[in-house]
Amino acid sequence: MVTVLFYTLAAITLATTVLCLTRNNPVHAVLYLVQALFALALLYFMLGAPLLAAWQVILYAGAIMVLFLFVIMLFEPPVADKRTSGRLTHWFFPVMLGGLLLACGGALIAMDPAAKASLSSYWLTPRDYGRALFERYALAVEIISLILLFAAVGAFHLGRRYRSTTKEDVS
Amino acid sequence: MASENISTEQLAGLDALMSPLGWDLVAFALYVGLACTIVGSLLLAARFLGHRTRSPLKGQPYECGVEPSGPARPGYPVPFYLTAIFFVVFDVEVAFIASWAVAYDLLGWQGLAQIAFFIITLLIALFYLWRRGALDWGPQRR
Amino acid sequence: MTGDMLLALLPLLVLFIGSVSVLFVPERQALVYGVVCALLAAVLAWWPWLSVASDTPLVSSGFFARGCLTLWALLGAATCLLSERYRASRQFAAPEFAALVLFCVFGMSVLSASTSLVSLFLGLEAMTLAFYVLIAFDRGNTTGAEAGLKYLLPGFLASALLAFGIALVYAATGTFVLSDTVALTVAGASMHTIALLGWTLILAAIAFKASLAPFHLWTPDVYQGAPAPVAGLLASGSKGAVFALLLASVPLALIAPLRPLLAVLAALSMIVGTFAALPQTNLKRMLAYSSVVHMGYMVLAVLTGHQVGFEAGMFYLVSYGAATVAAFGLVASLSGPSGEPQNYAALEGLAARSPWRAALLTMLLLSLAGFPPLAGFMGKFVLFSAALDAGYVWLVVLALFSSLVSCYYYLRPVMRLFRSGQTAADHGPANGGERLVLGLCGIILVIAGIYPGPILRMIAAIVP
Repeated sequence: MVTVLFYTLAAITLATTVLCLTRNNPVHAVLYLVQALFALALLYFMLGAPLLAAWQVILYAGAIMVLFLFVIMLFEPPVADKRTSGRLTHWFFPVMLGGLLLACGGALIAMDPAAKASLSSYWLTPRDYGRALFERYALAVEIISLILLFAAVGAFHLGRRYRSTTKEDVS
Repeated sequence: MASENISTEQLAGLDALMSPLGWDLVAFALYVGLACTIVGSLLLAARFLGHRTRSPLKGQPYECGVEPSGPARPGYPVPFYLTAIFFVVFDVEVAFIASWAVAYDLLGWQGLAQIAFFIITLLIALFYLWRRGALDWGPQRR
Repeated sequence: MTGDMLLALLPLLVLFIGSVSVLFVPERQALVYGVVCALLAAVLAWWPWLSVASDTPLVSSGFFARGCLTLWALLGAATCLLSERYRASRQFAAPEFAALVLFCVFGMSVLSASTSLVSLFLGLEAMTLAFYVLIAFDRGNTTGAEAGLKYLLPGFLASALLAFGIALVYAATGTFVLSDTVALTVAGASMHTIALLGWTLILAAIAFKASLAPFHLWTPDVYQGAPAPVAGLLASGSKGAVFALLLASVPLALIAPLRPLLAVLAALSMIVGTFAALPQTNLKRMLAYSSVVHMGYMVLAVLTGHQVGFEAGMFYLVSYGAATVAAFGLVASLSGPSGEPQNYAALEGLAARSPWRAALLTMLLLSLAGFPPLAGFMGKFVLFSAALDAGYVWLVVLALFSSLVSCYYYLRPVMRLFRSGQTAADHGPANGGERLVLGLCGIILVIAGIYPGPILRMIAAIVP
């Protein structure tokens, strides 16, 4: 049963990723990507990494997708096609895949409410994760803090407005 | 004797179904159901109770009584995007702080020093952005 | 993390704190502050009481790591010095520029010192992130923005390839430690094919960063659009850090199935780079294609797979780095408010206007072409002989052929220098910092060409 769930989720991930790559409407693409990320989070959970699954949802599906949508909205926002928006084919794939995803999540909880069984032999609890991260990869965490700092500084430098600029920069 | 057996079996079955974790699940399902019901009923109430008129004129975006002169959804200005990037940066920070927090007692003082270094670095980032006016909204100063 | 380890990582810590604190230094002192921080890190790397190599996690603190850190810190200091006058006529926020250069040096040091796949990824990302911003740093220059985008997109692709490759290697070997992963792959890990696939992806990502053909397509446009001092750091430092990693901690040549791939990368880089450089009339684009060729030569050092080849590679890196930084530094020092003198036509009559800089540019290009008695000749000599010893005769023949052809494209701008030109100069005389950097590079090129013994011995002492 767990194996069936695993392959279902893997298929959903693949399908949503392919759909994400082939959509013309960027907003649709991002929403498919969110579905792919949710499916991946469930896979992480099944493989015994619950905290990673949570970060996947919070960081990727939550924060980074917001950024993607912002970037899309910075440019001309896509106009919804009035002719197709009511049709069944328009709704079928996202709803079906989303429903399947929800069913998989529900099945996972129903089968394994204590969240103990996993496909891998090792269940990485959040405590173990935190301990490994800060004991063995402490230096990596500090390097990441510097990378984050410069991500903010760099984005600010490239995105801010200058007063004494040429015409292109204003606007 | 027989009836007693049956009753204990039934009890055992019920117990297995409604183990403490099972009750948690029921509570969770109830919670989800309640949340959905409340939101759904509020939305539906607005739909049924509200007064509705449909006309093409009403569908038009309102621009102080003037005819609309462009798309209703223009591109967002860049400051929104900057705010989004800063949000992501500090959101990633949360992932590390929470990873430390779940194991803070195992990591001890050394872990505290490490996470303090991490947080201070990002606080400096925040201080820099604040000083350079990245968090200012509205017309630019200076 | 004990006190010992902190002490061993002190140069990195200096770069870390320096890059953060320079953000709050006033505009006029920022670049000088950046130079001081970089030099302090370089000095601290060789401070006597740090000489005991401690067993640090993720990054090594051995002699090779410190030697590389010194090199990158000097390159960073040179970049700051070369930008002092360059930024005056442009929209350069000096604190951010100095901070990003120091951060870039930090990333390169972590990359070349990494002993784990984790620090490899983080170092490479730190360095690349700094370059994303530095390349597009001049906000008034739209070519710079275009160049930034052209570096960003291949950079993302390379990051994705690298992450995927690391995941596969980890899946096959079960460890992030670089020496163990290589050893387990050589020994034939349980999932040998997966490990090889992972290494191939990592190699592709590295080829992107080092601009080896066929992953070099971003190079000319990015060099052309980037501010000249940044292009110098990009051409020397980022590629040098990648190759330092390959020479010291990831001996890819030990993995037999990867050798043909490396040989193909080397051969393609030499052929494509040479033929693409021939018709160029833009100095920066020509240098970009020539760097593709030089990186092809560097792959020969990786292919040899033994100590002598690695030493030859490091020596070649030093001679190439000095010549490249000086060449881009000259472009920076010759540029005025109207732009950089990128086209050969803009160089006409330079010998009459500023004879010293014209003479230096001639020397640099001759060194890159490999004329004796300059460093480029000595570098090619030791490198090609090491490759011959390792048995790569056809690649060495190809390399000799390509350096023969390279004389044509290196001498073309030199001819223009001595032609009488009509273009009026809009650049002033070189300032002190530029003179220092350019003079030092020139001295290194001459010394390494005439009397390479001490430099080779120093390199032999630090290469593991």
